[in-house]
Amino acid sequence: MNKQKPSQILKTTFFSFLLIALTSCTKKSDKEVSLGALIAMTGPIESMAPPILDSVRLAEKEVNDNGGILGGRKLKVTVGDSKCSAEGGADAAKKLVNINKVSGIVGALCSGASTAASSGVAIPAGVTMISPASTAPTFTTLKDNDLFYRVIPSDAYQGVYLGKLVIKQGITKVALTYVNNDYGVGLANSFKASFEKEGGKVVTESKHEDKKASYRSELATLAQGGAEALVVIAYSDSSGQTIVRQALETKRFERFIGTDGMASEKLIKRIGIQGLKKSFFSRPVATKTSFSDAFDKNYGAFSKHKRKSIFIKEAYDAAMILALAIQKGGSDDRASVKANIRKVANAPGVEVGPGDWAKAVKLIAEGKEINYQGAAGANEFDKNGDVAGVFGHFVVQMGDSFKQIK
Amino acid sequence: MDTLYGWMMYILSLLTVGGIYAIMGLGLNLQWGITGLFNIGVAGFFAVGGYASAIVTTKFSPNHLGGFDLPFIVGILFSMIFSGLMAAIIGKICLRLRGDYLAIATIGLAEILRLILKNEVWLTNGPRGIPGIPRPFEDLAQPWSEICYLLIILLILAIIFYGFEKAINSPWGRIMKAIRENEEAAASTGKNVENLRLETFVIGSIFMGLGGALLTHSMKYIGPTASDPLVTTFLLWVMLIVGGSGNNKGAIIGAFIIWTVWSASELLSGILSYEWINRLSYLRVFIIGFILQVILQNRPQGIIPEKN
Repeated sequence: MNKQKPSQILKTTFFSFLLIALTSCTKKSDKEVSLGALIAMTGPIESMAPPILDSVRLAEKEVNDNGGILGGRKLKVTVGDSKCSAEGGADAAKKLVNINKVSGIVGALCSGASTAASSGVAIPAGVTMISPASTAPTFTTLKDNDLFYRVIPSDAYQGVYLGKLVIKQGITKVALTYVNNDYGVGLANSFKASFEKEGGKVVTESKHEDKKASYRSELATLAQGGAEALVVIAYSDSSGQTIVRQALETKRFERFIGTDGMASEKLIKRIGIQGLKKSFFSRPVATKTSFSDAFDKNYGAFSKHKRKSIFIKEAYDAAMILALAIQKGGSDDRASVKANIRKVANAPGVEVGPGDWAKAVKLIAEGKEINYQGAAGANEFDKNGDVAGVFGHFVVQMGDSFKQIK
Repeated sequence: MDTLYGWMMYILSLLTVGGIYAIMGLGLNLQWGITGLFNIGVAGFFAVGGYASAIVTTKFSPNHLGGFDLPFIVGILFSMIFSGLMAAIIGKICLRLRGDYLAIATIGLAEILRLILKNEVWLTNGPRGIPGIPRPFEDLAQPWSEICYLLIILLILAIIFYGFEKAINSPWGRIMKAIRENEEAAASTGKNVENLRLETFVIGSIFMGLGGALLTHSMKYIGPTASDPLVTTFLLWVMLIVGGSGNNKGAIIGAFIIWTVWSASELLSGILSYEWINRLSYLRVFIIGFILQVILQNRPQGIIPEKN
């Protein structure tokens, strides 16, 4: 009898397992093209996540239902829970990059998670990331080796737009107050820089904490410089509304200038048209195009979530641009994805949009240049991987709504 | 081959972060396992260490204090100095309290510390955090940069482990255990118990700050979300209890095991149907809680119990 030692049996089984695991893995990666999605499924913005994930799934489904990618291979999106935190983003990205071997990543959402995931993990590994939601201006200057993009305009752009707009309205002296968070601080800095470059002067400035009952003392300080108007960078649901109301009550200010966080119907309802007659607002203009209509139609049929959910168009665009870059380069190699992002997203080329996967594949096969027009915008990346936002000048009109002037 | 390489890289990252937690675990073991100080303010010291090293080592930025563009080694020294100073101040105030009261005081002060770091924008860039923190050896090609960073971590861990083993088996260590078992008895031998308690509190917290700095360099970023008490304080406590509090080897083993379970359980989000992904984070906490329960029921001393 041929008796085997237990250790030998162990060794044999171990190696056969390893072999099976290896062959199954290689087979899989030959058939599938892998993309990652870093989405904060849990944490402070978890309610936003399911519609966004649906968006990415919609892109995945459209690719697979229309002939697949790279000549019939399946696109597979793996989700990593970035938890809206630096630690969560970095940890989930490590797994997507190393174990799922993704060619590119959609995400992350929160700026902290995006920073840690990109600079700590994705950039060293050469993986391209396209964020649908991180608006912090720091990404513009991040040393990203051309691997970090975003399809949502940086907060800095709105600040620049608003600074110029205020000057155009003939206002040169303003008081500035902003909410102490990611959004408020970034936007306030870029507004101030742009406004003062154009010749304006911020005479008084005060940062405030959200959700306080009274801002009267802040308003008293703000009113001391003789400003013509008060710039409020906050949310109309909380501190922004209180500040406007209390400024009117105490007659400190009667003219307000707000950003997109302020320009909601809720503000008019609470303050009344009378109080906002002289005020004006900036906000990104939702450009309604045939491309966004196509997305709305497809998303409505695919998902039970509302088509107006935040960041869904951006998430879809991010996934599509990555898939197109893979197709264009003819390879799911990471370097090839990186090299082809701008080729498929930027002009020149034949315009393709949401739902046009089969058409895009055909054009690429014919050797034509394509220019992806997204659901959220034209997605022309500049040298920093940012997209320019389109902003509008809004005033309050009769009938409790905002009217775009320009 | 490619797949194997991917898994190897992932295992390297597990060992790196596990090693960092092991360093913090040794600090907590000194405080709780040896001296019996109930410190649940780990996240605060972690954040102080992380920010200190970030400010010292980043390039100059108008957004926050510094950066001073100094080498990594200076960064981690500053992280230890500042977390030690904080611990000395907090310890002076809190250490008169015992047991649960000390726990409540430390968690409160740690949260205050975290709020200060979030709100003092001139110091820390507030909610936006500090990006672009250098990682040693990052210019090397992959996988060598990962391997070299891991070697640094393991080297630091080995030095601390060696030092702690010596210290715990010295008369100093025995007095600490005596304080844990019976404070009055220890005091009756003529030892200054207050000072000794402060000593361990400060030394333990220094290594929590060091852990914060090492993790910050590994992520190349620190912000208010980086020192979430769930993944610093709570996880570290579970690591120590599962591994075996009172035993340095236990603290290290526990850190590696629990971090692996915690991190690898997230892999499920790639497999689960997506209705379940939302529930995954609760599932992950549940798995950790379940392990804790099993250990407490069957091996209350932990995987490697304290030596007698």
